Formats: sequence, C-alpha cells, structure tokens
Amino acid sequence: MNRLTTLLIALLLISFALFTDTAMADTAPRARLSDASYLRKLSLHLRGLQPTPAEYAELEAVENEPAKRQAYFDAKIDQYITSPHYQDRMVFRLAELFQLRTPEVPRLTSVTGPISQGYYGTPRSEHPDALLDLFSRIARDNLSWDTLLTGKDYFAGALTDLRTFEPLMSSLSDETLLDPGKPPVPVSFAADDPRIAGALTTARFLSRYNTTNVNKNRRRAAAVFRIFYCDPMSPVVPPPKDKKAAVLAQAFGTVDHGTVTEKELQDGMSISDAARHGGQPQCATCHYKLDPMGKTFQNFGLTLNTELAPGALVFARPGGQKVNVTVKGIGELGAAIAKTPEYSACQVEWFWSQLIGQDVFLLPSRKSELTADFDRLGHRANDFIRLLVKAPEFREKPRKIEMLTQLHVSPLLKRCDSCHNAMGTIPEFAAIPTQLIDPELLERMRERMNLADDDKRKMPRDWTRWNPRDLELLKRWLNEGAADANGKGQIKPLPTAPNTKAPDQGGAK
Amino acid sequence: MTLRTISFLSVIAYSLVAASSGARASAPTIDPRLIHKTAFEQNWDRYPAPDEIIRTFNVKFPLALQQNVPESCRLLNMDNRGVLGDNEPATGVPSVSRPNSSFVNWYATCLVAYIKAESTDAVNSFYMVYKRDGSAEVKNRTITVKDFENQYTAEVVKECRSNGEISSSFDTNPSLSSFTCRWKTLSPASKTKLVQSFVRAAIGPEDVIIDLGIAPSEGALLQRFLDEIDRFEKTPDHRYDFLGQPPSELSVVYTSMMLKFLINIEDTLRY
Repeated sequence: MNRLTTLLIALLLISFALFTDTAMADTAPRARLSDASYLRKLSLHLRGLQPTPAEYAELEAVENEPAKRQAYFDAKIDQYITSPHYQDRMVFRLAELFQLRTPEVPRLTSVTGPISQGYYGTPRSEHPDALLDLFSRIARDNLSWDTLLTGKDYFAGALTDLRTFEPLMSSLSDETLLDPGKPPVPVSFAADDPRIAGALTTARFLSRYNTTNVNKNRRRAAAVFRIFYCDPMSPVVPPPKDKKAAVLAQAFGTVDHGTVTEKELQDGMSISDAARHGGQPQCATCHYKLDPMGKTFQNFGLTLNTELAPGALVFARPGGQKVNVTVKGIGELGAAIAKTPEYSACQVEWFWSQLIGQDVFLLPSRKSELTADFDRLGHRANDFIRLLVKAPEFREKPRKIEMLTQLHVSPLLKRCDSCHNAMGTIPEFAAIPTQLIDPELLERMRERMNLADDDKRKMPRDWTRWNPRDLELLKRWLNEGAADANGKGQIKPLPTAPNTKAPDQGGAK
Repeated sequence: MTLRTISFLSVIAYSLVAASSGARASAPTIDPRLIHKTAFEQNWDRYPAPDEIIRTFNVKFPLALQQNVPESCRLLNMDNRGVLGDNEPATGVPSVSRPNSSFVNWYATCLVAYIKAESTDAVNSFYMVYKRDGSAEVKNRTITVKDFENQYTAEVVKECRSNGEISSSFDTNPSLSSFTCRWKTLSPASKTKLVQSFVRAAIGPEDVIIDLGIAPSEGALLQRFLDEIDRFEKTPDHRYDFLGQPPSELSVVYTSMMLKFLINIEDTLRY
C-alpha cells in the first residue's frame, strides 16, 4: 500500500468519525445569551426565582471587565447553589424522578424583620419524611449522588419512617414510636451496613413502590432500573383485556393481596400459558433483570428486613455483554449499582435534561466527557451542576427548531429498545445517531403506528404507557419522511404530512 | 360561582390573553428548547413549573402576607396540582399537557387575591406564623420607608414627598394607607422610572427583553405599559376593578397593582 492510499484511508476514517458524531449534530452556529439573560437563566434554574434588580445592577457595573464579570457569575452560582431555594428545587426534581407527589413547596415561612431583607421569603429546612429529607441534604451538603443508593443516615420525621427502621434498631423506645408530635429523629447505621441503601430503604420509597404476592418486589426493581439506569421497563405482554382491571388490582395491591397466591390468582383468572405475563419468550427482556434484583427486597413490607436477602444485579450492556453481580442484601445492591458506568451515564443524562434540555441532543462524545467529569467530581451533585451551568450549551440562546429530525426523536426511540432490542427485531436505538435506521424498518414502524387503535398489530401497545404527546411527535416525524440528523428524509413523506415545523412552533427569537 | 364572578374571570382571562399577545409582534409561544422538568410538558414546550408559578407571586407581592391569601394560591395542594401541571406520580407526566382555561381561572383568581392582600396587608404591623404542630405565633412586622423605596423606587418616593403627596405620618409609620401619592403628579421621567422598575423586577433589563423576544427594546415595552395606563386614566377600565370600583383618579399604588396585573406570568418565568 503506497503512502497516498494510506493517507486517503486515514482521511476517510477521520471524515467518518466526524460524520458519525459532530457532523450529525445540529451544527448551525448558536448565539450566546447576553450576560443579563445568563444571570436570569442561572437564577431561575437554580433557585426558581428571578434575579433581583440589584443583582442586574451589580452585573451592569462589571459589564466591561471580563475577569470581574466571570468572578461575579462564579460567586452568584455559589450563592444560588447554597441557597435554601436551590434545595427546594432539587427536592422537587428528585421527587419527580422518583415519581412521588411533590411537596407543598414553596413552604415559605413569613418574612421576618424588615421586608426588604426577606424579599423572597425563607423556606423551611425540615422535610416531612426521610426520603425528601435525604433529597434535601444531598443538595444542602453537596453529598454524592450515590447517597441515593448507599446512604446510611436519615432524619426520620414521620412515624412511618421510624416504623420502617424499627426492626433494625435497638434504641427506639415505644414512646418515640407512639408520639406523633416528636421532632425528626436522626437515624444512623454503620457505613458498611448491608441492610440499608439510601432512598431504597425509606418508608416513602417502599410504600410508593409496594409489593404483592404477584409482583414479588419486581415493581421496586423496575423503579430502580428506571431511576438509576434510565430503563423504562415497559411491560411487553398485557393481561387479557376483559380481566385487566382485576389482574391489575391484584398485582398492584389495591385489594387484600395477603390472602391470594400467585397460583390461585392465575388459576382463578384462567389465563392460558401463552397469554400469561411471564409466559412468553419476550417477557425475558425485562424479567431476567427484574427477578434477581427483586429478590434483594425479599421480605420487605413497609418495614425493613433484618436478614440479608441474596439477589443479583443483572443487565446487558450495548452489544450484548451481560453484567451479573451477585449481592447479599439491599446495601450491597446499591453499592454495586453505584459502581457501574451505566449508572453514571444515566445520571448525566438526567442532569442534562434538567439543566440543558431534553431536546438538546447530547452527543456521544460529549456524554462520555461529562460522564468522566461526573466520576472525577465524586458524583457530587452540586459540583456537577456547577460544571453544567458553566458549560457552553447552558449559555446558548434558545433556537427555533425548523424541522423534526432524528436528533429530536432519538430519546423517544430509545424506549423501543427496552422491549424489542433483546428480541432482535430492531436495531439498537440507543446507539443512534451513530447508526442509521434501515428505511424498510422506518416504513414498517410508520405503518404499525398509523394502524387503527383496535388493530392488534398497532405499535406501541396501549399498556406501554407512552406519553400521547411523545407518540404524536414520533408519528409526525415518520409521516414527514423521518429526516435524519442532517434533515435529509429517509423515507417518502406521507401526502397528508404537513412538511413544516415541530409541533406547536412559533415564537421565534 | 355567580354570574358576576364568571363575567369578571372572563374579563381577566381576556385581559391576560390580550396582555400576552396583543401588542407583541410574534406569537407568545415558548421556544421548544426551553424545557424544564416539573412543568406542564416535558418535551418541546416549556411552561413554568408549578412551584415557580406559586413562587412568582411571592416575588411580585412582597408586601402581601402569605396567610391572608387562599391556600390554593400559595401552596401546591390537591385542588391546584392538576391545574398547575404538576406531574402525576403514577405516570410521571402531567395530567394536562398545557395551561388550559382552568389555569386561566386559577391564575386570575390568585392574582386578584394577592393584589387584595398586598393592598390591605401592608397596613398591618403584625403577622402570624403557623408552626409544624399547628400552633400559631404572632410576630411584629416592620415595614420601613426603604421597603417602599424598593417597591416604588427611591426617586419616585422622593418626588412624591417633595410634591407634598405623602401624608406626614408616612416617615414615622410607613404604610400603604399613608402612601397617598397620585400618579398624575409624577413627572414623565418618574413615571417611566416606576414602570421600568416593575418591568426589571419581573422580567429583567433590556438584554433579557430582547433575548426573550418580548419587545424590540426596553423603551418599546415601557411605552406599551405607559400607553395602557394613559388609556385607563382617560377612561377607567372595568378590567382593573380588582379592589372594588376602579378609581377615577390613579394613585401610584393602584398603578403599581395594575402593572403587576399587566406583566404576564409567561414573560416573568420564561427562560
């Protein structure tokens, strides 16, 4: 091979690398926000409040001095992140991530002293339960995000919290347990206690994701996969429609499930093996992960278990490599999750969606860079948020989206992976946009999505709980020709498709 | 709900829509990149999050006492969660995808409640603090001239004083009832300054106004509000009868309430 050929191959490889990453991105130049708008965005994102007029005036005073201006922004970021309002915002965000009812914020006490000093009011510091308190302390004390999985210290403000911890504690007196007016009690366990796992061993988590004789803690495991691995865990096989309500009632504990065994339920429902959830091959796409993890929650009702239940953290990496970590006790499970790179990558995605925006595509190279930063910062949430709000993407001006492209729908396509990918019927959408989609598959997806609601071939199936708006968006992208990341149609648009803009656009800046 | 209330709410709803879209060149739709969680919808559109919507009232009405405002206007509770677009814990998404007529009703009702609370509460010198165990404590409340200067700008307060428009008790016992300054006595520069102070507190300086596409310049936005006030002065408008009958003569206090009413929540919270 001569030198010219080698050079050409090298150039081709470089071009391909660029094409699959940066060149596929939305590369049009983006304007930066003005300093005042940046301050406003910082304040609203971090505190949920606008800057005061005095803050704008301070910024104006250093407008022409770049070093002072940067120092001013750094100081403001620190000030906002250490404010009680930031804690409140983070509690809200985490409550949403855990799918909990959000607290009654802004929990403001009345202003004290001269009103001019208490312009925004002061949030109360205590939270009504150990889980929300844990969320608040992660923000207040800049704790590692892993505390959600490995934390051993709580403030138990509610009686239910104390009752959850009671089996593991010797020091709780009956008076403490019976006094509803008692202030929050600190509850601590040894740093290596394998029975405790941060948010997963709180009354609020256990009651939010309750267990029954049928779901056998798989619901809790599904929540763990959703929260910490960004895996939606959509059910693949529905129960028979006519008996759906009864099955759901049994499965999700809306009746006295203590008297019904799984066998009794299945016998009673007369579900054939073929129709029974768990009786079909594709069920394994989720259950091979859920079942071993569910076992670590064994014998947890709303109180913790003194014994350590054996289980495992099992999942498949992109490309099919299996991860299988045997654990004993929920504490070991939490620690094992926190060590996996997929956990870091998922949390980075979450922070990105909170601070930058879900529809601003996180390029694979950028994601790797940020994941490395997240690891380098010891997973401390506040430090990572500091880094993100100083990132160029945070300072970009909002931009009107002219056309729906693969970049915009790729977060939605990833949902298909959880059911279909293991069945080998679709490519791995999580790898998009470095992987182009076969036009035939796109045509098939469009056809199946546009079928009538009662058609059994319609996708996605109604029990998969897609957000209707997400579905509408995906359908529209397909109907408009499934433009790739560069805006080039991959299939023929449907004649009725409005070849225009993203849904509900307007308000160009 | 009485017919008068319904009529009143529909008028408020109309004025909200008019205020948000009437004089603006482009439609007020929020840019799709402006996504934020804990909001009405998590893809493409970004509407203010429920807690931000409630917090913004605190910022807009610093002199209003929280406890004199209905609970559904100051806390997220079962009555308002759905309307404000809070996420359904069961599904992880909001039950409504965007603000609807119920939101307009809620917002208009609460806006008026806050205006009323601020108009009356700034007169009181005490307030109650409710504790975790349900007990309440009475605390002294200190309102200073500085608070009024913060709210109405120092220049305006100074001009009102030099025009003899403030009662003599104001310096020793500052309260809204003794802040009797009339709008028409202010110089054009002070009028602009006052409007500007409210716009800056609620939206931000000129760069923000331009970046967000609210108006081509700060001056244009201020002029829009000044024109609205001018129109009211010439023909008192029943849309602004949040304190009872609209006054025949505008005070600085009433004008400020009108401004808080006119600066819509979308402009206050978009980013």
